[in-house]
Amino acid sequence: MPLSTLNDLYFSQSALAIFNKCRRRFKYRYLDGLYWPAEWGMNEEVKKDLKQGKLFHLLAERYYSETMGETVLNSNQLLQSWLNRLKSFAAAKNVVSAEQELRFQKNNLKLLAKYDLLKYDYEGKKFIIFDWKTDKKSLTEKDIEKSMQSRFYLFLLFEAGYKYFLNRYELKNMPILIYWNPRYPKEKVKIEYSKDDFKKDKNYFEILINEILNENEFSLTDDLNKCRFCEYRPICRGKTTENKEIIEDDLKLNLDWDSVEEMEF
Amino acid sequence: MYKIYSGSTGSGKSFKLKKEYQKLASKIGSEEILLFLNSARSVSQFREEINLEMVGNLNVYTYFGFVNQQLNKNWPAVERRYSGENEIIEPTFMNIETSHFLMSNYVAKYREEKAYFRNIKARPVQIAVQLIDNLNLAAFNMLNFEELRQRLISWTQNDEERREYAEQSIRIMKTFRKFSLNYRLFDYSAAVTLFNQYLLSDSEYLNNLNNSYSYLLVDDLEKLVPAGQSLIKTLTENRLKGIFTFNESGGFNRFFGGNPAAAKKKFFNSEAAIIQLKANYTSSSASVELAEQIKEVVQEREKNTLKSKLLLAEIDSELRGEMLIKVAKEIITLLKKGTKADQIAVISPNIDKVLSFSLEQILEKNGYQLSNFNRSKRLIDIPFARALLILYLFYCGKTNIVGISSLQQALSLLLELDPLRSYILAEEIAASGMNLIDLDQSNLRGKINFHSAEKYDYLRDWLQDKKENKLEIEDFFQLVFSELLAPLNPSEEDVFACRQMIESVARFHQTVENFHQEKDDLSERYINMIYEGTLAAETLFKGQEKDKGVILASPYRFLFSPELKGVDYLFLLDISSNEWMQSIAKELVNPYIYTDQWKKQAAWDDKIDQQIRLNQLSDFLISLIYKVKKGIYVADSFLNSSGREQEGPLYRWFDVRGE
Repeated sequence: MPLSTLNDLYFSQSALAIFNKCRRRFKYRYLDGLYWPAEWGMNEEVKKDLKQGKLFHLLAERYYSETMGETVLNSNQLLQSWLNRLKSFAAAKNVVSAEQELRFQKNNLKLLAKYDLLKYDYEGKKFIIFDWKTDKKSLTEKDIEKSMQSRFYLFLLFEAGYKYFLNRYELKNMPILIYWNPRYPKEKVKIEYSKDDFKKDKNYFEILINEILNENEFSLTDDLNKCRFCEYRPICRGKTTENKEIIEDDLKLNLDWDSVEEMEF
Repeated sequence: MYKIYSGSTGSGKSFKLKKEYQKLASKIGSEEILLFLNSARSVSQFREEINLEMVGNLNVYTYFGFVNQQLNKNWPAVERRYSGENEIIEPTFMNIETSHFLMSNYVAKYREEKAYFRNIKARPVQIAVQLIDNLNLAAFNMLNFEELRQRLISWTQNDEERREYAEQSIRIMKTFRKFSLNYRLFDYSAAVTLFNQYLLSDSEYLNNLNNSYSYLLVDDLEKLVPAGQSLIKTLTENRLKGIFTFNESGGFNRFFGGNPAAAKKKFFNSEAAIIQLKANYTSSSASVELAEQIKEVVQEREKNTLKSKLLLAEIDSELRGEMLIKVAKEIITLLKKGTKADQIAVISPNIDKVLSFSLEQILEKNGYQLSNFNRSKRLIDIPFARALLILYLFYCGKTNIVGISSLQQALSLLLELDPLRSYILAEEIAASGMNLIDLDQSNLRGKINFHSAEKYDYLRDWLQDKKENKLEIEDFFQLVFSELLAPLNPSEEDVFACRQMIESVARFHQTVENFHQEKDDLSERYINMIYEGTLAAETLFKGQEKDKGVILASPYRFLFSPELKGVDYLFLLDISSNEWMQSIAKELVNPYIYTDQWKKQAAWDDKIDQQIRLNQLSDFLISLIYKVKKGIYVADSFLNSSGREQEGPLYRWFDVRGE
């Protein structure tokens, strides 16, 4: 009962990361449509954090898109302080777009990313990607520099985004990526990108995607440690998930407004 | 200025629009284009099929999708304007299930306390659906509450009882709307009203909107509700360039507020460059002539019979069952001659179990498949999903609605027992007042096998153990799934059904807990709604791949399924059934009274009702014949499935044999 076929699928960084972890999990989530929303099975505290993270992304989008009316947050002091911190960290200037989606397809490569914020650096003639993290782990505790997300975001922006925005911006230099978490306002992780990095990544993604496209078995990982935090553990291993990990895509404001309605027009 | 591609069904309008979109998106970027499509399915299909090397944000929506998105984005301004303050960060949008739940609550309450709708036998949810339709239709036609009231009252035409019901309906609708605004919990009608009242009327918002896009594209302008048409008109009066499509025969969604006459009046004027599309890619050359005849015979009643070389044969029988067998035989002959299964469509306004089962059986016997586009398989019919529910009822002590057969099936699954033993066990449990009995005390351990008895003990202890914690329904479902069901090697359909069930309950719970205070009652209501088919129905097959079988669909479903482009052969069934000519009016709602036409005449009689039915039928038939290339079979039986004579006029109008 496949919902999507491999050839239809646009690969996000999360999809690639999941394939690397466990091919069966990739199949369940992206091909069979057995998607379990992030908050299912989480304890109340995690659910609350997740909700807070999503609301923060919404507020950031409203702030950078300059929508009408400022959000007043009397009832949520924490979010208010996060929003204030965001405004001082990255003011709404030189904004290319908030929640910018980018799809790219060439030959059998089909890629998709959603950037929290894209800014244009007029002096450096390049794009800056901002990505908001809201979890309790500090950025310094994460191995974020070499993560799939960092490589994928920068690669796709340079490969496709630079061409896509060519008529609107003068883009002479390589993009950079900045991670920031409003819980730790003074910390930020800035990742530079070089043409060498790009070449390596291009090669890496092409090989990985070809491997996915030629995959038939989607076998289960042997590493039981990976299973402990997987939402499909009950199905594959007959055991309850210990504590679900949060997948980056689940935090993105990727609301499908049409899923709210079931009426034509 | 804007241009309109105008043509019949199958003339390639949507294809042209898609091409224009792709051309524009590759030139100026997808962010600059706002595209409206007519259903959520069309939106998702469009997103999947877009074929560009690079593309950015896709602003592709249904009208309602767009309204919701805009309200959410600009929520602080909207909330401040209607309530004077900001209380929450974002509003909640109710889906159909939640709004039915809420409105049904009010109907039940007013019936009980104030004896509302005294002589109406319908269940609260059936009345609720009609009241919600009234609210939607008023909002789609941009009418305020006072206008809604006036029109509803004047429709009652001095019939005292009907007038009383109209007044009662209005009182309940007002309470519903007030509640919705207080709790920032919006159904479609509230969302559309707020959007028009507080955003679209604001020059700053309009300015922002105009500056956000360069192009506005709309597919099927005639199906857009008047509020949507008004949005399109406003945007094109400013700087946006418009490209639209208009289906000359596409007015078959009047039930849902579509108004093709209003669209034509609004958009076909000197500002429009009309491009008539004459070619047709999904029909035969004879279709145009037949379409003309349909207008003359059905809509205008100027001639009496339809004749065309497209009409290949008439299949007649005394009994419906016989007719279905003959139809199936004819289909098999076509299939054996090499027609592909998905190039044959069987269309009936009455797709009941007899029809789908008979066709399915005969086709399967001959090695073919049936794709029932009207299939609504309830989640509760999937054994794994049913087991979730049954266990929940035992968990919360609400076993009064558990039947022996449901329990037997759940036990059979959970304990891996054969039907006979699981039935014996279910009967004993029922006899003890639906308590999970002790196997030793009731001497059943020996009767069911050792392995199953052990599993039963485990299940009993497991439930007892869980009773000590107070679990929300969705958390309980998840535990059952993880700990009891998943180890039973569920098929993908089973896993999918459980996932849908958990999602449905989680969404429902999340929305309803904002306002529903009596939590204990909530789960029971939820379960009842699942049994009634109000909740978790038809969701299972959403997005599933299309089977390549012979198509079975109602006219509406066939025409509103974007994946069905056209077929070689069409079988129109039950043509003497009155269901081909359904009235748009029900006891408490009538879409016609909300239209401009009503404003002019303010009258409703059998003649108008009849004319609307004929217009509707004519639009359906014309759209259908534009979807067939090689030929049409009409089929009919003197008696319907319940043995009643059928007297619909369509039978008389088709002259297949040249008599």
